[in-house]
Amino acid sequence: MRVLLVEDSVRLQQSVGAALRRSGYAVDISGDGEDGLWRATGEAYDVIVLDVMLPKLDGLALLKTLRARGCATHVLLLTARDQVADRVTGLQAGADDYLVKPFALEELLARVQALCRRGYGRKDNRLAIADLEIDTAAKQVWRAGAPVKLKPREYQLLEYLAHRTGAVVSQSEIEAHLYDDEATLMSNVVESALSSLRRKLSAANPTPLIQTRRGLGYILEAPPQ
Amino acid sequence: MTTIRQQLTRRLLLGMGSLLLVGAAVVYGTTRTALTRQFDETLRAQATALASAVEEDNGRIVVDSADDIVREFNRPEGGTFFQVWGTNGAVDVVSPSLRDRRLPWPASHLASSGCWNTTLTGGLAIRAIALKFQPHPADEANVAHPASAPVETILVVAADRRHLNQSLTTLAVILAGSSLLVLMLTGGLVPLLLRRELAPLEALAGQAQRITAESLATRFATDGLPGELTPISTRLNDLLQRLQAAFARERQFSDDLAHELRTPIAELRSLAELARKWPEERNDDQVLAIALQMESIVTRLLALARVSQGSATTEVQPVNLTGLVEAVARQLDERRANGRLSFQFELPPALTIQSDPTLVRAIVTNLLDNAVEYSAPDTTVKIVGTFHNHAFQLHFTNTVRQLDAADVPHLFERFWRKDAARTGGDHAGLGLPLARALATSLGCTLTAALNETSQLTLTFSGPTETNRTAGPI
Repeated sequence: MRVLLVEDSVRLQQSVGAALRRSGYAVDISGDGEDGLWRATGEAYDVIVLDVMLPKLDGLALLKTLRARGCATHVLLLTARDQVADRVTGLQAGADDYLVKPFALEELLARVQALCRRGYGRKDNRLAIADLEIDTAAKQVWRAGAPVKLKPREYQLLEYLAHRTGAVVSQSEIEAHLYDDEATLMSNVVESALSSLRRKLSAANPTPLIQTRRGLGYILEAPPQ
Repeated sequence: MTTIRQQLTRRLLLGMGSLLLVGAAVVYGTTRTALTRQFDETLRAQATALASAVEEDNGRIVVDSADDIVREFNRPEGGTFFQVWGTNGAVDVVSPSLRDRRLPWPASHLASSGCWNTTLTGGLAIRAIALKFQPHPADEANVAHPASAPVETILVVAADRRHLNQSLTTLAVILAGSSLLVLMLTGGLVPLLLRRELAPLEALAGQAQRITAESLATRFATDGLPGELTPISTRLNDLLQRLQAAFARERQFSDDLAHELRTPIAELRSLAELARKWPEERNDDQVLAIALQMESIVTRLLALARVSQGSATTEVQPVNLTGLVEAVARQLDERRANGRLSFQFELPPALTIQSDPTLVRAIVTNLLDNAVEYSAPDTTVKIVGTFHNHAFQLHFTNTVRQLDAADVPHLFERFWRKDAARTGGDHAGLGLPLARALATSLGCTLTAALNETSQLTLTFSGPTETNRTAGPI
């Protein structure tokens, strides 16, 4: 999952960015409204964490512009204003959620995760495809009842494919959603992660769940009965 | 709760009742006196006329029954009576109208010539008058040579006073009834009139009652109000305007303070939670920087509060402004170099004033710190000092970025910063407000001016000698 953090406080950029990365998200950071708008319209983000008071272009104006341009990415507003009127204004401008500073980091992570789920039309933390089970809250995976140990990037790849079960996902989509500006993308990084993921998933059950569609991308689906 | 309307109603009714009572009493009393006097005069005239009909005939008192006046006393239904006593106190003559009844002996009334109320035997209420006289002889020829000694005769003439009493009673009833009627009409009319006339006052009170901290934008109408209420309404509007402005300032201050503290607290909290969950992300330097930033905000706010309340103490002594400015500038040398700035001093060799060195140092530090923080790179911060007519002026001029003339009045507002987002830095917009508050407490002034080449000049000026102690601002 890829998150855009638009926040002018350098310290919050560092701490929230680190927490999101540690939680397995690819994170891009922007320090002002204009740059945030440019990034939000140019990249495919699952969630945007947006501060309201920003230099150059304030968060609410950024949000309205985004919505006016048809961008449906879920937005979590982050602000020091805690009045009901402020929240209403934020939500009416097109925000999906609202968090008042100071906030608990765990709460922010949980809200970002919930917004990611909503982006794929899910309300449950558990995903199940055939004998594969994924707990998106605990970030744990089971195949045929046996736990599967995955690296963060492998897990993110699996969760992303699982969210889009039955759909062919292109390599560029995977790169856009799982790798932020700080990642150095090698040409075979996605294939390499997929290969490792397939190997670990087949340990408990050799039936493959991830199929390759030549020239199109990859698909995770239950094998035919 | 007693209202003006209730009080006025009660007092007007009470006043009207008292006036009616007094008026009725006066009318009744005057009429009674007039009627009684008229009654008495008639009675006295009758008595005088009757006395002329009383004769002495050989020591015996007789009344000439042929006299017209005497005939009026013959009919019992006439309501007039007389009785004559001779010298020995024996009753000599009584009017036929008395029949078997008798008039009471006048006793004490003989001394006065007035009338008095009494009753006939049998209970009839009458009013009587007594005359004491010597009747003339029946035989006019013996007047010059009377056969016997003069006879002292007592004549009492009385008249039925029931008509008089009835008239007075009727008058009393009429007066009481009309007074009561007027009082009842007043009782109905006064509240109606008061309600109508006091309606603007009640509307004013109702509007005032509905005003809360959330509705301070309300204003009282002044058009069409009675003259007595117009100044009240105008003053209330002035008061509301000041209250609204004060509330707005207070709210803005709270919002600004909340924002200034929420952001570092949010930073601190997220850093702490991050370090607890992922210890390798721990960053003590950032924690310390946040703590110092919050300390700076709180310290400046406390200083502002103390100076504003006049609780800051001052110690007046000679202050070498030239040396002080140069010393403060040296402390900022590293930041000056980082910002690629240069200082240019144009100060008299020893510009010395009488003031509080600590507060003056705080002012100069804030002004120089502000200049270094907000100057454009590769520019010069110019500090010029002048001394003239027992007054000094210190000008701090620097080239600023993104500041226009409209921003100048806001420079001394608490928490004001050009960037509405208040991004970054350890400045909370408290330095200049604090400097001005300190300057004011020392009897000095601090002003700002921006020229067309974006050069901002902050001028700290005041008397060179002051024994003023810090006072509230």
